[in-house]
Amino acid sequence: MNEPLPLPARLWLRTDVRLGLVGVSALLAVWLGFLGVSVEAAEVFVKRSGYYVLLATFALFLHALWRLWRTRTAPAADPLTRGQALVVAGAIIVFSLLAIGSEPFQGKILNDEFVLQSTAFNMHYFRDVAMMVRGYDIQGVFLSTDSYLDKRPYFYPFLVSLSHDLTGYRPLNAHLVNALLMPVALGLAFVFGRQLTGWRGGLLAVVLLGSLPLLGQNATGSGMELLNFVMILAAMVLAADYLRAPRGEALAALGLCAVLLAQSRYESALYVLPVAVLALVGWFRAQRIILPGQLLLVPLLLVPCALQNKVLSNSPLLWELTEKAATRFSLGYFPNNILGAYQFLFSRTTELANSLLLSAAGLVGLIWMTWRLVRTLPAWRTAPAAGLALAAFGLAITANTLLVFCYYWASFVDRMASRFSLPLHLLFACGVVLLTARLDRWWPATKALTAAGLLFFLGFTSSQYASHGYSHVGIDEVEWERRCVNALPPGPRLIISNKSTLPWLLEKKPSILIGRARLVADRLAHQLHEPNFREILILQGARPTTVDGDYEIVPEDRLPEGFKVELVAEKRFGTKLARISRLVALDLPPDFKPAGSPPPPIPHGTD
Amino acid sequence: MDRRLVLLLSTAALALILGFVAFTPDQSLRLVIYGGYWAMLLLTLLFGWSLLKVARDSRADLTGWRQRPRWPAALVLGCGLLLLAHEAYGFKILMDEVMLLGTSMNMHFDKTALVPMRGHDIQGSFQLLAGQLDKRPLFQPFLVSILHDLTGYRPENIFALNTGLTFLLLTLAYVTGCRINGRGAGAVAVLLLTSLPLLAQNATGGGFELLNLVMILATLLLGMRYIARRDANSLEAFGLAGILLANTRYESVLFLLPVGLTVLWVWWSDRRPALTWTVIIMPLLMLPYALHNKVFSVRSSSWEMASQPGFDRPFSLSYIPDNIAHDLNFFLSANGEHSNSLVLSLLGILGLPLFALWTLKTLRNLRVASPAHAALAIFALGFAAHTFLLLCYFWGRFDDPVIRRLSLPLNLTMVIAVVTAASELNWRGRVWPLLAVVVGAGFFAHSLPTMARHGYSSEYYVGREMDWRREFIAAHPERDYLFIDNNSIIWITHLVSATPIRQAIDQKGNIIFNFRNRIFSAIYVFQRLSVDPDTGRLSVPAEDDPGPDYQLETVWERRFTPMTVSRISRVVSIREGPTVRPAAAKPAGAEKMTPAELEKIRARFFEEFIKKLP
Repeated sequence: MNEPLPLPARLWLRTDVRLGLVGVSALLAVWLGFLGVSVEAAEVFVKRSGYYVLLATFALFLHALWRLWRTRTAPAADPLTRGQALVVAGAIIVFSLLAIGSEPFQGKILNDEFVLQSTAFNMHYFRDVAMMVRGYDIQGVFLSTDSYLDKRPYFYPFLVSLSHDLTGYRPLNAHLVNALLMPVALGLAFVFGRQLTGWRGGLLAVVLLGSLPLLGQNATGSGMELLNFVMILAAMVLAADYLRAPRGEALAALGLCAVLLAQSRYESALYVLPVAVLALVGWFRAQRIILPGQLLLVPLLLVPCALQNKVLSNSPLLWELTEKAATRFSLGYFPNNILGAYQFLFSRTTELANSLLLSAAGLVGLIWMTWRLVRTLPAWRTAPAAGLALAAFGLAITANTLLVFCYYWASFVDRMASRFSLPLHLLFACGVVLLTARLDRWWPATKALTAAGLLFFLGFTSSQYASHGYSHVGIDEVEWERRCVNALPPGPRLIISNKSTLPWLLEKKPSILIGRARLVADRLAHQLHEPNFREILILQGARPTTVDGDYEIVPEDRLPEGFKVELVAEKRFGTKLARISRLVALDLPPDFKPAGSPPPPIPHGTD
Repeated sequence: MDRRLVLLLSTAALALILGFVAFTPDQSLRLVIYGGYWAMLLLTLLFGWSLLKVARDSRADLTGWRQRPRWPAALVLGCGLLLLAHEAYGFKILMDEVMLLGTSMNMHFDKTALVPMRGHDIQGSFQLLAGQLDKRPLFQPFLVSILHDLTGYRPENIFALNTGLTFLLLTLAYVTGCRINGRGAGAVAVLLLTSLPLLAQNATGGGFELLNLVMILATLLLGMRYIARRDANSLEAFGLAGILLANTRYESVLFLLPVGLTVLWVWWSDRRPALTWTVIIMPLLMLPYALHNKVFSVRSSSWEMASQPGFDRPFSLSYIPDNIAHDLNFFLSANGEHSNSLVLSLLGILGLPLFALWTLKTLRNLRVASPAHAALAIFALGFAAHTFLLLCYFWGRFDDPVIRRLSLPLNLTMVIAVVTAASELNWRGRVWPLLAVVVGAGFFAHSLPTMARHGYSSEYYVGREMDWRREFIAAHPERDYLFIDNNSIIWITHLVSATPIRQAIDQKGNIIFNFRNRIFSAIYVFQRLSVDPDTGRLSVPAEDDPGPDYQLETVWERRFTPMTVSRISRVVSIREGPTVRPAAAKPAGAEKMTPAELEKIRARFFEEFIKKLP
């Protein structure tokens, strides 16, 4: 005879109770995220506890994936043949290697990627969600002496910190994480393409995305874009799987994936909406309410995301507005950004990381997909699972892109902002896969476009990869400075930087900005005679002042008269000269007043 | 008449009109510049596709390959490694190999068939700003550009391609030998090729000679297959291989003669032409070659007549006697200075007449000959035509360091001749072990020490000077400097900004602008100074002299020959104002001498130099 279940278990099995608990959880999350916590408390909470919340979310997600795998249904109706599997694996591996080999592992977007790496540094060493402003080697340990909560979502820094945890700290890990994400992205693109139209569709998606230099650029950088791209694809794959056979394990994985996706980029919180809608659609299709236990936690796991956004909204300094832009979002930015998107998507130079093939075919595919969506939406209850997932996420990606177009710094033709177009490219690829599958009824469009994609890679993408002009946006200078300094005899150095202290702090080299050096000249004079630093190096830039050149140090980089320097190295970047000098003497003026505690600087980036 | 045959004749007529009549030379060259890459891509894809179809048709033949002996693979691997072991990778023939690299560079970056003439790091990436169409065929640079595409640009990719081709060549040689007379013949063919130091030199260089040999053998083997099978897929692969071979080396277009004869013979003996759409468009696929060839009419300097004074025509029957003497000097050299294989030469000279007789006999009985023999006999006409053309070439002296490589197809002919003649003799199957022993003895006695010393590469000091430049680049990895060097392409292909000395004089103002504004971290000048044999005084030849406005400080200096000193100097200041042109340099003793006098004085100096060694 079966023992009667205890009361809590019996209550838990009741759908109405679980539904109520989800409601309570959601209400609590809204109160905590938007109403009940002050900005200061929110900052402290995210800084001190954000890591652990994300760790728990990630662990739950992996567990949900494991359960999903364990409870998977019988083998797929049309399993891949050995030949097909080899072709697909070959395509994914080759395109990934080509992308990873196309550029050196170095930052692409100044200083965003250093900020993310810095947050990963603090997560690894101190479990703080904060980026470093100053750091010193104190008794053999490099300590972060000033830090603050950055505006960027921190799932990517979390993964980098995890790689530090597992393999030891090294800045290269940030790039390796992205390099590993590249085959994952192409693999997921194949899976979703296959869910849409079969294995040929999946292969076409791999070829189209594999020939997009923008993906290659991000695969060798240390930004969060590729992770965001992967998480969108993962959510789409999980959503299609859930809609195909609605069940608790699939919904749990999808819900937790949405939380992690929301922590991948600022605007990716948008994707929580299609996930919620698709969860309800699954209930309709299954004719029952599916509520796994993990889903109860999902609203609460999103709280740090809301709190971080609250801190950002109340810290205008973090918005990094330019002199022309008064607000971050405005319809006024829309026309310029649309024009920039057109110029980027249809550029024929090697200076931008677009794929003309994907843009042209994708635009046609997108129009066709929109028309199909309007035609078939009324039949959503019986629509193919992958198509329905694509419709929901497609609308979210469209909303995401429109939102980006209202952002003050989002013209895709700006090489710093091109990366915002990645979700749109995903939509393009899906549109092309759907369209060619339809055209296959009349002639082998999928095969033809796959072959065209391969030719396009050889004819165009390879040239873009070769010059990768889109990646030379200031980072070369930082890399040169690093090479020069690292080639000097070993020993502790203080680097006075004219750009950012982060590249140096990440290598555990103390660094301050030139502005601070002016304020703390007395301390520098003191350090010149102390053995703490082998030398103090100063990084400056010079620019031409006449048509004949006549280079001068830029005003922001100039140092007071008393700073006596000797030139160590000099190199031209574009029309600018970068210079490394050694501080050899410092004569303080008689009227010098020591600064009390100068404010820490805020690093700049796009977003 | 078959409608497809009419179409073939139409495309052939169209190809003739487009290739030789419709476009002016300038238009032709422009078409090659902007369409050459795409034409090579199309040809390569069609050839690759045809090979896949051929492989699919041969699947049945490949069953049981696991049971086949593995020693041939070990032989090819071992012999390939031997060829690569003794000499360092480097550019062996200049400027040929650098020009090929330059074309591959532009194909990679811009998909245009140009050799870069100007290139600078402008906004972080090295940009090619101007270029010129080279006379060399495009297939090899195209393959190198594909390597760049797949692995990133690096000059060393040109060596990587030749390394791969070395093993492929030996494999094809083995298969060719097998087709002629079984595995023993295949093994001897591999051994004979391995005994050739010239092959080792090219295997570690950046030229297109190895690809040429590979394509000759590939075309021959596909010809054998076509005669055996007489199917459309074999015909396509055979025809496309011939077209690619024509795009590999200038004179290899001659091999289209045996290709055409083979096809016509098969059609004639079958009494029906088997035509596919690919075959129909094949005449049009020859257009890149025809259009590219106009470079010789646009630029008469392409014939390099100036490099050998005393000649007024590139080809003439009157050159044959002199060339034969020089060629024999090459083939029969026993001191190792000519990169020849003595054992191959001796066996080849014995084998060639027998091979010629065998060819005549086989051609007379072509219908009863085996497919392999029939194809080989027809191909022998191509080998003969090739040899005859080189004998009529004004610079066809194989004992010239720059020209030795042209003997490679003749060396290959010798290998085939030896194997074919031996297969006729056979001696109850003992001939192959005997030949292997003879070749092995020749290899260890002559070839191996020759390869180890590789004096034939070292004496060509231009190659060593090139290595020295590459050492400089390796020692200055930032590549943010400007080189003033008459061979500026060398630097540009290594992503270093460079300009010729003449430009530095004519555009002194620009150099001053760059110098003053530190556009480059440094400006260097490369010069090759002449040594006065009597006084030891160094003098700068006029073509290497930037003039008195440039104040130079020597950075690196090295003597590559007794009579020349190569020098890299740093520009420390440039005098402003009107340009003072370099005074016509008082020629050093060496510059006033005839080549014979120079050689005499070099020998005397060398003697003195040996005596005075500490």
